Amino acid sequence: MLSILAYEFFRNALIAGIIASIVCGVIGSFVVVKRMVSLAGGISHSAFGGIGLGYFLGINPIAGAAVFAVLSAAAIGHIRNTAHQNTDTLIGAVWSGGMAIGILFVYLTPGFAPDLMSYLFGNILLVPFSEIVMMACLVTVILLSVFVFYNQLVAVTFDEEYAALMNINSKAVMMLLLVFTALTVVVLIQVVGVILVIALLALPAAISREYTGRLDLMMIMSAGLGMVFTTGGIFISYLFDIPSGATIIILVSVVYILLVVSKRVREKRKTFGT
Amino acid sequence: MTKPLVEVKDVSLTLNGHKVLDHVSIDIYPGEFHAIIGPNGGGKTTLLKVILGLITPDSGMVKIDGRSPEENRSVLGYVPQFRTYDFSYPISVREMVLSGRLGHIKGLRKRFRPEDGKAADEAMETMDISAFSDHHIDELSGGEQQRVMIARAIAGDPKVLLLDEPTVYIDSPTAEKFFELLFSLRERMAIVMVTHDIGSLTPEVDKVACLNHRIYTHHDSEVTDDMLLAAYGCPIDVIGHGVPHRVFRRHE
Repeated sequence: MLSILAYEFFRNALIAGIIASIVCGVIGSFVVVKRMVSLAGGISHSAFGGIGLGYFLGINPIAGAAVFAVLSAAAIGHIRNTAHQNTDTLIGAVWSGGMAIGILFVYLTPGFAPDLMSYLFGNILLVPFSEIVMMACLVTVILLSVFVFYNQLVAVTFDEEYAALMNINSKAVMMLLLVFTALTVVVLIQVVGVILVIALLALPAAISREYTGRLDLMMIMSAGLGMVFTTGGIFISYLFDIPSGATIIILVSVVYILLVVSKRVREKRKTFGT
Repeated sequence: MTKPLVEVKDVSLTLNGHKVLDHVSIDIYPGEFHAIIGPNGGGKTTLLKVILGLITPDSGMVKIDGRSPEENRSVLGYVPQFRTYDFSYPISVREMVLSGRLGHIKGLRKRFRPEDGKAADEAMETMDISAFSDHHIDELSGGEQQRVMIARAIAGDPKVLLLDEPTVYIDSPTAEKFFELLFSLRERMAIVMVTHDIGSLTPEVDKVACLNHRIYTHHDSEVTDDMLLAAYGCPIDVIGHGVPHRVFRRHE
């Protein structure tokens, strides 16, 4: 089985999975503790609008996805900061609005959209080395920024109002976090596709949270889990010749659900004293 | 005469078409223990947020130690209502208390310095929560969590401590201990406590103001029946579960 490591495409896939897992662990932890999983979902689906636009204009769809993701994150952040209202409905609008724009552009593009399915559901086995380099650069920028702003990010995600009293520009820091989330989503689209991004972003962090009360450990743990899930998913998908993105997501979802169920069972046992 | 630490003059504020604060004025002097009582929705939390500079009033003036609230936030310590908190956030007691030092730290990274750690440890000592230092806040009881919130506020070494409904989620024996700890802070800072629960007024309170959009102040130095009467003289019932004849120790 290890003989497949001789293939460059397979090694690329593993490297892409590892890079994605690292950024996923860090940003995904913030997304989970700040309870913005659905917001991240909105951003990732809106990115499909950019993918469609990329096809239409004949440019790299990922570049279009990056523009759409960052713009929708900034728009949600701006309205969140100024209107003081629940962004739930807005997220819904961005979510399906972005998808609709994407579908429209793909329809308007003459001919056949070749890799459409891999943008929707991911195909890590097709990631070329040039995109891995791009991913690595993006992830480095995100990680360095998080390192610099870590204390501010923690203060704002824990208590925005109190952070403002501590002379931290809460609104700007929140905006920064939303843009990081958008860029992370762009990295993850290449691994699992627009539709499956949220699971890979949120579930490793949610699993880690069950085992640690420390944010830094949560990040390291979920990055590690992400690597296990992506690597495992890539091998399984290769062995059984099934789609890689879906395999990775099924793997992480099954583990998460088993964890939730076993926790409930344990708690029930505790209450009944058996 | 000493200058007030907090000076609120003729502040009015309308939110969503409702006049929340109507020409409100109040001065807080060093070492004072103020209680601001009034019904829910009477503007108590809003007044605190105006003092903190989180909300800008439509008219009137707020000065903190002679400057604007935004410029002088480190003078104020704030203990918000904590039912709105997400205590499942992965943060330890010490980390939370330490975050009260952030206002004193310059630079993007906001790295904690040794003196910040010292201040946080002292604040935990004062509030008697040092034993929980490495615990996750979710593991603590309501009263302990309340003390963590106060430790966070006093870690910043404020001159005025503002507390929003501090006794709502603690039972009365806990509240007693809580007030003991609070009084021990009086030498270091003025205290302003906002509450709808008149039962939480104790003889140690210097001044009582009643806020129900308008403010009614009483400049007596001791809590007397007059003041209770005045408090109940608010346009709307002060409290639903009234304790009109709550017995106060008299200062003979």
